[in-house]
Amino acid sequence: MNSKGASAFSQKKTMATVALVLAVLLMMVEFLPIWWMFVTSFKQDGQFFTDPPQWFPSSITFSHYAELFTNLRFTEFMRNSFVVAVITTLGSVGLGAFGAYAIARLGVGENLFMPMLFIQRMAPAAAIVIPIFLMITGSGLGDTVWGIALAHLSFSLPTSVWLLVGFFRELPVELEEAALIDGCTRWQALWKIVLPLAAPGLAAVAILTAIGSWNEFFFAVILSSTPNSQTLPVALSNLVVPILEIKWGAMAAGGVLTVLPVFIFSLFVQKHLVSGLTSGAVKG
Amino acid sequence: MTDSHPIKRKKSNPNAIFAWTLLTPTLLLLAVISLYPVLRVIWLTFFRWNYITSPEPQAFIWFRNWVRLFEDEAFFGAMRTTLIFLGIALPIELLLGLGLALLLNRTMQARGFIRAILLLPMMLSPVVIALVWKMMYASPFGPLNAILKSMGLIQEDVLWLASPQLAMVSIVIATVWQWYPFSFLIFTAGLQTISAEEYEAAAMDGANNWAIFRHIILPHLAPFTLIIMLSRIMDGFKTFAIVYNLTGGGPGDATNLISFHVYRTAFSSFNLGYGSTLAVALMLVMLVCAAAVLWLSQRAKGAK
Repeated sequence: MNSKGASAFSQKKTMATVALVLAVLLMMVEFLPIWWMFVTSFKQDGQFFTDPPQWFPSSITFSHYAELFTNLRFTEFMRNSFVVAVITTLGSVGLGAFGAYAIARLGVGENLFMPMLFIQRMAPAAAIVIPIFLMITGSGLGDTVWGIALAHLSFSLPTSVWLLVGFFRELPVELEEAALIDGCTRWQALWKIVLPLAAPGLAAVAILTAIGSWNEFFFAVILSSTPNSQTLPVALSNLVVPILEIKWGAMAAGGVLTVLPVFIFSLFVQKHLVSGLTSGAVKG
Repeated sequence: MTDSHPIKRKKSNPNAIFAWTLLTPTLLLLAVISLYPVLRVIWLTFFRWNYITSPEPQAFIWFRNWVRLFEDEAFFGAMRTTLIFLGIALPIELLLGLGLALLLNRTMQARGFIRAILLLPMMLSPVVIALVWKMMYASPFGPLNAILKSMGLIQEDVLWLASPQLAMVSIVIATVWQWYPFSFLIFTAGLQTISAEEYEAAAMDGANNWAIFRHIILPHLAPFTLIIMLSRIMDGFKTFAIVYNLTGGGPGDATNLISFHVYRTAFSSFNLGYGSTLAVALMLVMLVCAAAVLWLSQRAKGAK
């Protein structure tokens, strides 16, 4: 290797190191507030705000978590969040997959569906919340997980169909044709050929829908009034904006409980998540 | 051709029954929870309706809600506040996202892990974002003030949520922290559309880094910038949970963003007729903004 090549090589290496250091620094800035919430949830009362701040607590306690599950009824809030996310995800991926297949492959409904979708995308939650509120309380679904899940479907179902139409259009059509020629019915072709092929796309959409529903606050806070249907974000909000004083420890612990499932989940499915988020934005 | 491709044949579709069977449940549900609410909210703008005193609309008042809207200082104030909020947050998000995308657009140790951590705030509920920043902004002895003091940037504790300007800065910081990774993600997708050959050809021509950035990278990223802008402008009009949980719209009306304003009109004072009017006005403003961004992108395409 001549000297010019060697210096270019070492320069490139220096650049790579600088980039790595910068990236790690940014990562720390990004993670610091979350870390603060995490350590606060284990701090004892009176240690939350000290001079200098304790980035690593000197002693830890689990009392805030205990309080959440006893006095503050977080078992119920977690159950509600889970049920709402499951109903929303099943509804929007299940119905969405069939609808999207009909539009993408069989060429029906596009003229009907696309204007609806356009309206939905232009209508923010705040714009349709009054009729949704009247409809759901009027049909006896007020303060139930079903009411909240229905409201979540109003934005997640159109998004799912939109994304899935894109996924189905990218699938090769030949396999379905071969299956039909071999005597499969359309149902069999859909179940045995198309849906397995579309599994990565379905997974990405399901993940995005589940996380979106788990995190959603606007509809949840308006449509729920008791622990019968209040989800984690609503319960958290009652700790963040309390009537009396803020319980920092319980609030932080509640935040950790809300974040942890999403965090673990998103580490496992990072690839699907990134592809889903990117195509969601680029195609949408 | 037509007979061997039953799937692609669209006219006189033999699969029509099958297709409509698949589509109907989705369409019906969407009609009920997506289309009908839009029609009903428009209809409600013609009524006077205080939900606390009456479960039914009280009077059909034609366009009086709309007349009131045009004289409503609070509505225009909330719109202005939203635009200021977007005008500060969006450029910062774009710049940070672009910088980070360029930085990480190379093979690097632990790139996947770094990316996962960076994207983490995007995955969090906005209520958690507000919670996290409520702790960061706490005073006295809050962690953010402690960091800024140790860096010598401030001498005294800053009361982040107490003054109108700082409250706006506070929700901007929380929003940028959560969402600049989105710009990073989309710009990264954009950078991946540039082939290695294009870089090599430019390097052969003796182009320096700046010229490569200016003439190769930026033109490729232009459509991706529009995607980010469109998406984040729409999000800006929807911003609710951070305001609700961090500032309550205050102090005064300093952070009273439009979605929060609509919520307060409809569900604190339960004025459903006028609340609906604000909601429809918001929808129209978003429509105009989206059309403007799309028109700009069409024009940019035409100019190429």
